Amino acid sequence: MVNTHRVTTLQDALRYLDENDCYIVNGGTDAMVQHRSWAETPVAFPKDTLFIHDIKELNYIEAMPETFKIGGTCTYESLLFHPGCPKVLKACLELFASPGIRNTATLAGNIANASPAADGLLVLYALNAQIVLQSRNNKRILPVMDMITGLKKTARNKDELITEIVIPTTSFTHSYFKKIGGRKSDAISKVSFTGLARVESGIIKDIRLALGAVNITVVRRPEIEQDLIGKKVTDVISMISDIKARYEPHIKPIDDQRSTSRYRKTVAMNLIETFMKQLAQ
Amino acid sequence: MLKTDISRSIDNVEGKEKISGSAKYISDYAIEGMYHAKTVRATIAHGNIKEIKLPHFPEGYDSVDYSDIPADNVVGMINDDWPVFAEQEVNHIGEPILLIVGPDKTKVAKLAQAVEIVYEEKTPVFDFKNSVKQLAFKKGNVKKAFQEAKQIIKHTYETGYQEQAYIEPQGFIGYPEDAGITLIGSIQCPYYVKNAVMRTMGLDEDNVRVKQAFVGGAFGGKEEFPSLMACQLAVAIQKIQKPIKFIYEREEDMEVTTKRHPSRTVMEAAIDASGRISAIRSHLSLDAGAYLGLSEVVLSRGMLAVTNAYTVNNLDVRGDVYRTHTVPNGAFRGFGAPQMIYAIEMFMHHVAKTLNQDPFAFRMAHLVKQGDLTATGGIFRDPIILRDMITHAVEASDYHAKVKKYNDPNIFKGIGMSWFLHGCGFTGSGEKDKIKAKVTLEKTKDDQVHILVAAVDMGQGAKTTLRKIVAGILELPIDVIVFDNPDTRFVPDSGPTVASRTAMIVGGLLARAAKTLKEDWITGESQTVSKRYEQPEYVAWDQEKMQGDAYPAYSWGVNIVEVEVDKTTYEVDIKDIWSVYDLGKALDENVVLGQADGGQAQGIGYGYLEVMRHDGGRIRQKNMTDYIIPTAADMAPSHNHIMDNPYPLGPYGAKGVGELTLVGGAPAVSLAIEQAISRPLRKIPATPELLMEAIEHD
Ligand SMILES: Cc1cc2nc3c(=O)[nH]c(=O)nc-3n(C[C@H](O)[C@H](O)[C@H](O)COP(=O)(O)OP(=O)(O)OC[C@H]3O[C@@H](n4cnc5c(N)ncnc54)[C@H](O)[C@@H]3O)c2cc1C
Repeated sequence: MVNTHRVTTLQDALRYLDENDCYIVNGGTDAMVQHRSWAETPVAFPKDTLFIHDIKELNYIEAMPETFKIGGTCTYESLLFHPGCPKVLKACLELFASPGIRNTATLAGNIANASPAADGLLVLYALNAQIVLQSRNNKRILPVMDMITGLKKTARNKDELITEIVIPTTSFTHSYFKKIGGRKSDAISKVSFTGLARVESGIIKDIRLALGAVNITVVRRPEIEQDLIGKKVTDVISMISDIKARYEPHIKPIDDQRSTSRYRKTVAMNLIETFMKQLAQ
Repeated sequence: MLKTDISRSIDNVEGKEKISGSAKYISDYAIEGMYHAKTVRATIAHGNIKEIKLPHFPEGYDSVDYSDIPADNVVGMINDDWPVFAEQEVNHIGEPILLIVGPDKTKVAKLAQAVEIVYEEKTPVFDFKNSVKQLAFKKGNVKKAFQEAKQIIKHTYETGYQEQAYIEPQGFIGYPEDAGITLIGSIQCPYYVKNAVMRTMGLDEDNVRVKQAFVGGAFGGKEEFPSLMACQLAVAIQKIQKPIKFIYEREEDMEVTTKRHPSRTVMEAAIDASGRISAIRSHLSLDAGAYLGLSEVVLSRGMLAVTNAYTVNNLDVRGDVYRTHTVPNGAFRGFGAPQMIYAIEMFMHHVAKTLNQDPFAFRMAHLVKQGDLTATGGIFRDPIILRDMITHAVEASDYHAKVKKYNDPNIFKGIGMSWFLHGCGFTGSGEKDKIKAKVTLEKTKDDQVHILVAAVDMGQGAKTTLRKIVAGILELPIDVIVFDNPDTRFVPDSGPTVASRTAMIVGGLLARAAKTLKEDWITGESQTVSKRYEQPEYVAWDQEKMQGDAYPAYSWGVNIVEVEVDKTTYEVDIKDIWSVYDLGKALDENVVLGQADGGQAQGIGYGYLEVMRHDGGRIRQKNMTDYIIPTAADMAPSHNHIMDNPYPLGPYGAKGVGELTLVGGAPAVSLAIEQAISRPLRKIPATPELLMEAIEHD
């Protein structure tokens, strides 16, 4: 059987991580499900396990003029009700799981779990979030796109903890979050979409599209976005099929027990179109 | 109690225990020194077992298989084809082969995993090919009607699996007691379990005792399936002589327990010169899975619903149960009726459309009335108030105006209506010939009255309503009426808790017993009154020909569902729900409204949300993440209306309600979606994936 260790300070956590090769449990809403075992028998953790959810000093939200910072153990429910929570993140959290789960689950866990269907992660991609990774002797910051390296894979070293998520404060004129789950609550996304844009005097100044559950990681294509910046929104309408064609090769969803590849792809394309049309309105 | 109206709600008598957590469910039980059992299952859909390689068992651990069965390797139910343990042939993935039993769960799990089974595989069958039961009945002269038809319209309808998704998985705990075996379980039918165990074990009735624990939901899933587990556990207890706990895990439960039968229904109508249906030919196919179990009876209830709440004078109705190499299907709230009512409600609408007639008027023109002959030539004897119910629902929902408005294909909104009936009690002469229900009231010296029946409160409120009936007739406060969870040592066999029969049949018997007790009441003395079921004389049924009165009484309902479909994502949003029910008389309004809200969610969910499929015989949606049932957020607030129409032989006029609230959900929501997307649908669940195919690729 594996050992379990519960910490209440960041220092203890980092020391433990430095000295042990261990598995981390935060809110446990992925961890407990993924390592479930027969009722009344120990959870099937793969190795010694560190419980970090009680680290109070990581349970914070800091709304600054330039940035919105979220601590590594902060739960969704406190984020959802924070007045500074970015609008698109709030829209996502309202549809995230259900209140019971939101009261324990964390954004850090959503990132580290690195699922292509993760809703929080999708929004962080669109918001250009930065992930703070801390170890006993080091601290580094990675853009979320670099943090996620593949299907369920991250750039985190095993002695590192996600201690903070930093969202640069940006104002958008258009903000669109759409989650297609099997139902309205407690559902895993079959397809998800985040679109953000800043349009000034009919010109696109900033635009970001992120698509979830259609590839092994969240799909975001800066090169396509770059080409749209500076364009007139009225011109974009005639470019929609072009834009869709450029996204198309990156939309490679699977058939599984929750949906079909065809549905996911069709809806992903529809969502791109819907968002583009919104810009012109 | 209380000369007040019986319908007025009281607190659910189990509410406090359940909400406070003091109610003891099966997994809450523990017995000093108990062992645990885990099932080792087939991993192939079809084949023969060539060899079983067992691991070395440490002291106290053992396996239990068919060779340990003292008497019959059969789970006793209507058809005797279901083995307790596979012997040589396996017929579905997940079929139980043996149990591993021992004191420590972790070790039991390891040993179970270490069992190696070598198979000789055979080609499995998954489609409607291998018919093992056929039923048929006729009414009037179908041949002539089709010969004279001006037009013939034919469609095929398909329905998928549905999983009961009770909160509490299946489970038992059992122990040796005296010379026999005692089992406590999460069950609907204590005597089904008892009889099955007696048969498998070769024990007499004094040596098998079955007790009901609090039941965390059942929906039919705990009708016949628990008998299988109980027989296996009894064999293990007999062999090992220890108390043993045997509880399924959620995924295990979803993968291997009985579900609603997938179906295919062919409907063919002859249209006469006046533009009405003169005859219907119908064929219902059910996928039984690997073993028949109750499938034949499910088929029969489905076929009997062929004309639903319509009168059609000429009928040719046939049905087949097909065996496939998949998990056996079985009882589920509605019992075959949801499949057929889906088909006929859609069909009536589609026929009207084909004939360019207004579907509402077309359906009304075929509406059943009192005195009409049923599909099987019985008579609808009691007053039918369906016309008033429809009027109420239509007005409350502003149905006609919305139908008109939503005919615009660009607004992606729709409104759909179903109306339906459900036969109360067992089909045909089942109550008289098979069940022969008996109930007892036992008054103690301190003038408490004990209800002794085998009926189970599985959340539907039986304890509340049955106590109210007895208290009401005896004019006593409800708390002197005692109703403990049934224990077959003390309660007579009042039949299974199924078929919308508990309030009407068991409640009716209790009402009779209470009347007798009231007449003979002697304060301060112990008294016992028993009553046995007597079929109303006018009810006559020929099982062989399927002719006559299939049910003593019918409950009726109307569902209207309004939806909006998202053009971008094809998701369905349930906007509003209106329902009207005639269940005779509500024995407790809140209990009925609880059934209404729950039944509608389950019925509507069946129609648009709940996807379960197998892939080579392996169930793909096997947990609550992947098998999508509606949450409160998915259901609109429902406007439920109860209309009294007391049934003379029911207690206080009550008929059945448990299944009625489910059977109309799927067609109502499907018809609404069909209008929203302006395309016909002939298959449920109507998922966004299906709608996309219909919209994008037609
Ligand atoms: C009923 C239910 C509904 C759900 N609904 C949704 C939904 O709508 N959308 C969605 O995206 N997800 C959903 N989830 C999944 C899950 O809730 C989220 O992914 C959640 O964000 C995980 O956070 P957690 O704190 O519970 O993580 P945990 O389960 O504790 O951990 C998840 C993973 O992250 C690692 N980890 C956690 N914290 C850190 C850290 N600080 N540093 C390094 N590694 C860390 C863990 O080792 C583990 O591998 C749902 C889960 C359930 C059970």
